Amino acid sequence: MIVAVTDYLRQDKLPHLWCGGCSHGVVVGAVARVLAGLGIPVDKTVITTGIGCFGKADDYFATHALHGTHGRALAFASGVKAVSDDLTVLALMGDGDAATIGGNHLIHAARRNMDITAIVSNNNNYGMTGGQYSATTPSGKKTSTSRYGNPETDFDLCSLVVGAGGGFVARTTPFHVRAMEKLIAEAISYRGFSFVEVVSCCPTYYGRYNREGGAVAMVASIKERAMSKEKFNLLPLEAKPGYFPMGKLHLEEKIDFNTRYREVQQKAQDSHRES
Amino acid sequence: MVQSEVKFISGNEACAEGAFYAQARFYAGYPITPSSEIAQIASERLPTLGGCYVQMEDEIASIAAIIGASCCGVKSFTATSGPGFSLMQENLGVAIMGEVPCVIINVQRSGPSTGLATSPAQADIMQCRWGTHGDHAIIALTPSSVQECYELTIRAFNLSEKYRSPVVILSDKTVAQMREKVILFTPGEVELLERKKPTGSPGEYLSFRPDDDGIPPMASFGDPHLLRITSSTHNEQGFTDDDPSNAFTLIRRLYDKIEDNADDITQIKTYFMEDAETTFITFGITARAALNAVHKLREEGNKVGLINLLTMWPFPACKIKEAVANCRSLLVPEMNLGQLVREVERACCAKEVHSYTKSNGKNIFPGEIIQAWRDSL
Amino acid sequence: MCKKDWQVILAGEGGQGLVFIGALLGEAAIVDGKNASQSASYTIASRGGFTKADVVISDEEISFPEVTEPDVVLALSAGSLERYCDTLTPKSLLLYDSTLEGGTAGKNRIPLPFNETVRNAAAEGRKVPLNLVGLGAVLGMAKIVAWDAVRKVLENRFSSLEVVQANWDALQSGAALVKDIKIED
Repeated sequence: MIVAVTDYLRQDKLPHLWCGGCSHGVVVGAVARVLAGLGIPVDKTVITTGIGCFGKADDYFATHALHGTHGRALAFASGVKAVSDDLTVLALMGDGDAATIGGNHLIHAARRNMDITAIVSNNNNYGMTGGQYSATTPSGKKTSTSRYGNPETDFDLCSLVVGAGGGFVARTTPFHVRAMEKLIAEAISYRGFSFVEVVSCCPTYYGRYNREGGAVAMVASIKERAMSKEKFNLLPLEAKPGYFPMGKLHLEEKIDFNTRYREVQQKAQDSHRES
Repeated sequence: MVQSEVKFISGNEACAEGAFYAQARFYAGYPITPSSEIAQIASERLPTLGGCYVQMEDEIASIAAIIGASCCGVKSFTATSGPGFSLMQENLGVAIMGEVPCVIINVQRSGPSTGLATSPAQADIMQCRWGTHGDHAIIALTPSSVQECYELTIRAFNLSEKYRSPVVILSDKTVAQMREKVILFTPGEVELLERKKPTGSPGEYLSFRPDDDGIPPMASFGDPHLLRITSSTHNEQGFTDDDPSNAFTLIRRLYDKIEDNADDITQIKTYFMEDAETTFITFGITARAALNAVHKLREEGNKVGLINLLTMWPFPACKIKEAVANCRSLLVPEMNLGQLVREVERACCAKEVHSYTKSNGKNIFPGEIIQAWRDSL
Repeated sequence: MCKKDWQVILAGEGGQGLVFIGALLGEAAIVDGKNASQSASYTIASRGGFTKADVVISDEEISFPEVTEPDVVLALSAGSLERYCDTLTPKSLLLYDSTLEGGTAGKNRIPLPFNETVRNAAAEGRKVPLNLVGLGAVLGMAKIVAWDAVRKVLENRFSSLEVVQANWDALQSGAALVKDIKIED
């Protein structure tokens, strides 16, 4: 069966609800093309989401879906994956979902290492509730709840996930769409917890509050700030702020949870037979 | 023929046995006293049954994970106590709104908050009913013995599958950790219910289109029928829909599919009701103290009876009303400051209703109920 | 002592294995064809803190699983001795460890060398658990369940015959402490 990208998208739900210039639609398109490219059947794909602008992403996919509470997409996904090794499980989250209210689930999902792909479209603020600051809003930046500048420090999500034990960690941008597709395809194919951060933009709130000059200027700025890991590492320390490494940042072979649990089942069944 | 197995086990163990009998094959949880034995047994036994145990990072994630697993068609459960049950309220709402069958065992301990971890209480009645926000209905079963822990857990899974709804077992520390004789069923002895699956073509399937009974068939993730579960107010397709008539139809249906079937869902056990002038109405461990009190008072020739509620929600109002039709007065002993008595008053407003409450981490003893009865005369 | 229905309290502190011997006693009653319930009260401390196991045994259905009028109390800690020594009715039998302070010996209040038994055995290189010595004394004084039933429960619980025998010996060493003590009913 030849699969087309349109098989994965609910055409009747388009156009999507996101603002002009928002990056989320770019990510949805990339995910759909990757699923089609990998030939993963729609009925063997589960998308879990939480709350927030990107939490609406499941609406556009003609796959199985579980749209739940804020921050819990990975917790729902963990239950799905634990009992369904044959399904491709994607958790699509914004920065509020993945890193702020759901930060605890993120680090534990990375540590637990189930074969789930987490894709975070990180636009540095809560779009759906009116542009408040999140755990990825850079220090000093203005949002609707940090009008005098954000007093907190932001997470580097990729470093966080590497630190928590994630075996596949990548970062990309809505400008580098082909690279994004390649990384998402690799992430889905990776056996274990995989994490892709998309450095996105929210022209409506974050961009406006910080006078970043609209979607085109914001994407251009993201493009300028992005560089390969190798190039980034060569920058002197004082030059690093303002830039970020992209591409595959961390790859490590690890035995995923379900494989390990099959060993648990084997041991349990052996010891059960003995007794 | 396979013989029924007689065991001397705790209420928590019996809940786990009931879950395994009901074919539950997934448990996600976070340890908490006095429910942890259920997690321990699940972690030991599920892998022998081809099932899976996952220890989650908190109770929010635990109930989320069992919802996810249940969407794959695997019967799933978790167990917790007060502080954990508080965290679960969020995603209990998801299970209600998304109509995802699952079983949550809440072993009540003394609260509020972290309270007394190792002391019993029966003070989560209203949290269980209304703890998650918004209009909704819930099914909650209340065992008072180890045998009932076993049987009601099986029943919880059956009701959960039948009504596409989460079901709470409201156990308590004493019932959960006491050991008693229990007779385990042989395979096939008790009918096990499964959720309705879609029968039409995949293209026609809508995740939330109810049959005439108000309950939508449920596909599983991985089926050709695509399942879209959502916790937001949705239409039959499972997409957010803010049309007021759609919202009302949904909320009404979620409520009615439980409340309209109260007769099927609810169970009460009655003792000495034929000539009872006063009836004790209670549940859980307090029903055991009340039964002891009834025996003692009957020995003295007093006409007292007992209703032991095996279902707390939906409240078995009709069954109680019918049972107490000829009684003069009712006495409601409970280990909280008066949660059950209000429901009894609502159900039996024409009766003289007395309350005996205790909220100090100790069980109500039979002698206290006898004294409360004397005081009520 | 010989009765039909029994209410037994096994009290001490966390870590002494009181719930274990309570469950053992209850299960033996089931094996004996009776009804039994065993409930427990404990604190958040896994070691230390007041702990007790209540065991109710009857030929009838047991309505309330907690002890309301104890027939026998075993006290293995100062805290539990203090709790029960003055509150018991004359009908209740109290067995307590003789090294505990605060006990007043009397007709139905009997200090017994539980800890000494454990220490003496240890000196001979045998590991004898205090809880089983205590339960052995209880069973020696009060005919709650048949010894055969107790033996059967041990055999059900432990696959190793060696472990069964060690537990059995510990029970017997407890029973030996009371073999010459007679209580008039």
